[in-house]
Formats: sequence, structure tokens, C-alpha cells
Amino acid sequence: MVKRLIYLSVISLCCACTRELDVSYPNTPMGNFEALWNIIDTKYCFVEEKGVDWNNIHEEYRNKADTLQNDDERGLFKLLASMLDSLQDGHVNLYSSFDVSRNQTWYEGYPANFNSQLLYSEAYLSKNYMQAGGLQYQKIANGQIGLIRYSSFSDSFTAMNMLYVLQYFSKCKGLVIDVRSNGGGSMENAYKLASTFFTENTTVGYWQHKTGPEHNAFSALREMRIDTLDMPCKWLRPTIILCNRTSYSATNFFVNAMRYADNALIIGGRTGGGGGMPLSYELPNGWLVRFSSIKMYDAEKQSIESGIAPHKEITLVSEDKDDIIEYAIKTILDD
Amino acid sequence: MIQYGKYILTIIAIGLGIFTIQGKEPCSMPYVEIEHENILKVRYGGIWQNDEYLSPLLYSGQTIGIENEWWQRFTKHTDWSHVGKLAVSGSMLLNPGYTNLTYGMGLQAGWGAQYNFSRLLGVKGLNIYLGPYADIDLMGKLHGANVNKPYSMDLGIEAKAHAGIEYCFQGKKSSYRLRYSVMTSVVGVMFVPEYWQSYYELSQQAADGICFSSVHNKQSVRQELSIDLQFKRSAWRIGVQHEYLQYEANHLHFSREQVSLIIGTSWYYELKMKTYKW
Repeated sequence: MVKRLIYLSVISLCCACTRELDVSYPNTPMGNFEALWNIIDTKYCFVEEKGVDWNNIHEEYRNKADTLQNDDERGLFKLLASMLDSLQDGHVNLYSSFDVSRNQTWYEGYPANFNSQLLYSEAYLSKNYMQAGGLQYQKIANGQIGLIRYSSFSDSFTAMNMLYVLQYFSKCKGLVIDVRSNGGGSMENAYKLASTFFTENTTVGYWQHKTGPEHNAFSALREMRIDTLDMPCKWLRPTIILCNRTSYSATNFFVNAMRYADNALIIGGRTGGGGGMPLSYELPNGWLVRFSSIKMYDAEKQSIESGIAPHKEITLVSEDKDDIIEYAIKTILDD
Repeated sequence: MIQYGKYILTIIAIGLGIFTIQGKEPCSMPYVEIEHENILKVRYGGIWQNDEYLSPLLYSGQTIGIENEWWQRFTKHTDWSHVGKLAVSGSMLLNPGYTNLTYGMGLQAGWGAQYNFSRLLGVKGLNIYLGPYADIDLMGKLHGANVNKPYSMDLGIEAKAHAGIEYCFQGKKSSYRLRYSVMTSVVGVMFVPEYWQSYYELSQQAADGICFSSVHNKQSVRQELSIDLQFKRSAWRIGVQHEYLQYEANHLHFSREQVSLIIGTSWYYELKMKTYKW
């Protein structure tokens, strides 16, 4: 009796250890192609807005995938990257161990409106700028204006960093925040920076995420609210935000939020957009695809995917001075 | 430090309450004997994990953990005993292409009661037990490559059923105890995010992910086969532990499987409780 029970236990344990692996797509060129096509078809939030017939794309690329050899990784990458490129979305990337695909059409053809050599020249940040967390800062215009350069929302900063920066600028008439060519990063940093300029909790936009595989399956709109408590120290004097076409993603959201700040002006060029918060997912071969999945809107419920127009469009044309910063200085000093 | 040590000892003494380990100085109060066993073990093994919130792929890797388990007979109803467990673990898993990595940090804690059929069976050394168990199972996961949703977790608070069979026998040089135990989910609540929720949203609306769970959407089994080698009042335990968990909600599938070798040691006490008369 006892022996039988022991045998039964051992058999039960061994049976429980064996299991079927649940893999939807095989790790072949065709399997990876189908997986990627399906991810975009069911999880990407702008299939309809982009005006791309995704079913046609499937037909177009399927035959090409079918001809690839199993070991032709670079050929497969090139094919899949080309398929993703048809979406013309800066938030759509394919990551492999040997390359990252990216689309650049969203900023091509726009003026650069940014010259780092000018920005770091003696007239502006200079080589002796100070840095608090991700914020580079310096007084300009004979100490009358504070200039903050924030080159990436991936670089974090704390309330204490901001407090020291604002204390340093305490006698300045205004503040210039340069987020040109800032490709985005953490939304938390965007909320935090924007909160510095709000004295009341303010709805600056909405977002909605997908709820199912259908192209138009979305959740109800939910508020994106600037909470004044995110940044305890406040700046209430004139503030000018500098942006350009490569101000993208979280920077796009920040610029949108600053449109609703009390004393802020946005100048430069139209931002690049990237108003779809990206998520990522894996293909059977382990490559990662990043894609827009959460739509973001401004407070008027208009999509911010195609970018934010500045209050005043200024183009950088001079070679010896930054026309956009000069305009900001003039605006603050004339105020 | 010595002063703090005194306080700690006082707290432990209060925590133990009216229990005293046998062999301490005699007391004029009458005693009731209580069996108590504490098992401390480490485990190391393989782990397989599928978390469709993070990735559709089956990740595999290694896990290491330490756990403390105890059981003790009830004082009046001696056919019943209560059991408890606290376990922590860490794991590292890779996708099939070895291109992305997931880290896991687990915590399991639970308490239950069990009825021991040893007296009814009447076979020397044999015991079968069965009973309810309340359990919290948390496995936090970090998938650093994921954009805007790098975190996920298995989190369940459940009522479970557990059962086991153990057989003690005398060998040539020592006494042995062969033991098999199994535990399975019955009903509870669990946390399951929606695929499209970024961690910004999850941090603000975590309550949205709480779901009812029962055998229709969650199945789990945790089993252990071990042998104890007795050495005076302690015993060394070696064995194999297997855990399988799968659940589905919000159109997402999750699974976790672990097979580990365990090695541990147990202490067996006969506690004496003072039977105060009020």
C-alpha cells in the first residue's frame, strides 16, 4: 500500500514536469513576418490615421518573406524594417542584435532650427554652463535671463535640482527652456518639468489606449493632468520654450502642456509629434518591435501625433547667432 | 548593542508567549506537550515563464530561493496541525533567442491547517494529511528592454487546498521520512494588467487589474517530494520541488513553472505550554 502510494507520487511529479510549449508563431522568416504584421495589425494605434492599407502590405511582403532562407537574418531584418517604414512613424522601430530600424521622414524637409555650436558658444550656455541633474543652465543677456538646456527627457532631475536652478535665476526677468532636438524620454520628467510652471492642477490633454485587436477599438478618453505637487518650486515669470521638428515624443507632450501654462510662450518650429506613446513586443526570434500604442490628445481633444505648432514660428538662419534664442531674449526684455 | 540584545530577547520571549522549549528550567505549572517542526531550506533550479503582458515568448532561466516552513500540532485537537511558510526567491530568465532578459523577485507566504489521518490509518510511521491553506504569491518581474511597460507581476491572494503523505521508517544507521506534499489553488483574487496599460497607467490605476480567480481561470500546483535523514533532534532534507502556475485574464496568458532541487534542515521540538487556570 505504502509503496504504491510512493510510486504514484513520483509518477505524478514526473508527469507534471512535462508540458507543451505555447508558441503562436514559428521562428522562421515567415513566422516572424506574420508575427510582426499581426502585432502592428492588432496593437498599433494609428493604422487608420496613417492611411496605410495594412492588408495590402501583408500581400506585398508575404511573398518576399517566403523566399528568404532561415539563416538570412539581415535579409529578414531589411524586409521587416521596410514594411514598418511604410507607417512613417518615428515611434516604430525594430531592434535586433545587429541593427535598429528607424523612420526619418517625419523630420526630413524641415529646417533644423538648432545648432549646438551656437548654443554652447560664449553668448549663450558657453563651456562653463552648470548642470543640475539633466538640466544644463546658464545666465544670458548680461544675467537678465536664465537659460535651461534640456536635451533628453531620459535624463532625470529632482525637485532639489530645480530649486537650485531657479534660485540661481531668482533675479532674472524671465526664463528660456531649450528643448530643441530633444527626442523625448520619460513622461514622468515631462510632467515634472511642466509642473514647475503651473499653480493649479490643469488638464492639458487626454489619452486612450487600445482595448482589442480591431483598428478602432479604444478605451474612453482619460485626462492627462499636470499636478502642481509634482514640482514644489514654481516659476511664475515669463517663460519661453524653444522647440523644433526633432522635439519629439515626451518633448511633444511637454510642449503641448506648456501651451496651457500661465505665462509661457512657445517659439521655434513645429514639433515632430510622436503623440502615440510607444510600447514594445517581441518576435519569435527575440527581436523587439516598438510601436505607438496609446493615443494622446491636447486639452481640446485634438491629436498631437503630427506635432505642436509654436505660438511664433522662428527659423534659424544666422551662422553667428541663434535667432531663436535672440528672439526669446528680445521678447522677455521687451515685456 | 548588548542593551539592544536584551530588548530583542525580551521581544522574542513575549512573541513566544506562553511557549517554552522543553528542557528549560522546571516550572510548577502543569504542561501540555506540543510538537513543533521548523524547516529551513534553500532551493536552486530551472524556471520557465510566459507573461504575455511583457512578451509572447517563453522565457527560461535559473532560480534560487530560501524558505522557512513550520508545522505544529494544535494543543486540544491533536489530529489537527497548523502550518506556515515564508519564502523568497530570485530568478533570471532569457528569451529563446538570448536577446532579452527578465529578472524576477518572488515572495510567498501562507498559513494553513491540516487534519492528520495517522491515528485513523493505524499504520506505524504513516500519515496522510489534508486541509485548507491561505496563501499570498508575489513574483515581481522586470523586463528592461520593454518601452513604457517594463514591470509586471504575478500577484495572487488565494484559498488553497493542500495534502500530503509522509512515511517514517527506520534504516540501518538512521531513521528516514519520505514525504510528498501537494497544494493547489481553489479561489482568490489576482492582479492582471491589460496589455495596453503602460506603467504610468498601472501606477495610477492599479486597482483596475484586480480580478477574481478560481479554477476556471487559474490553475496552480505546488508539489514537493523529499526525504529527511534524521540526526538526533535535527534532520537534513533533500528533495525536489515543482511549481506550475497558469492563469488567463484580459485576453492575456501567464504561466510559470519551476523545478528545483532543495536542501534543508529541520528542527523538531517538543514545546510545553503552561496551562493556566483563570
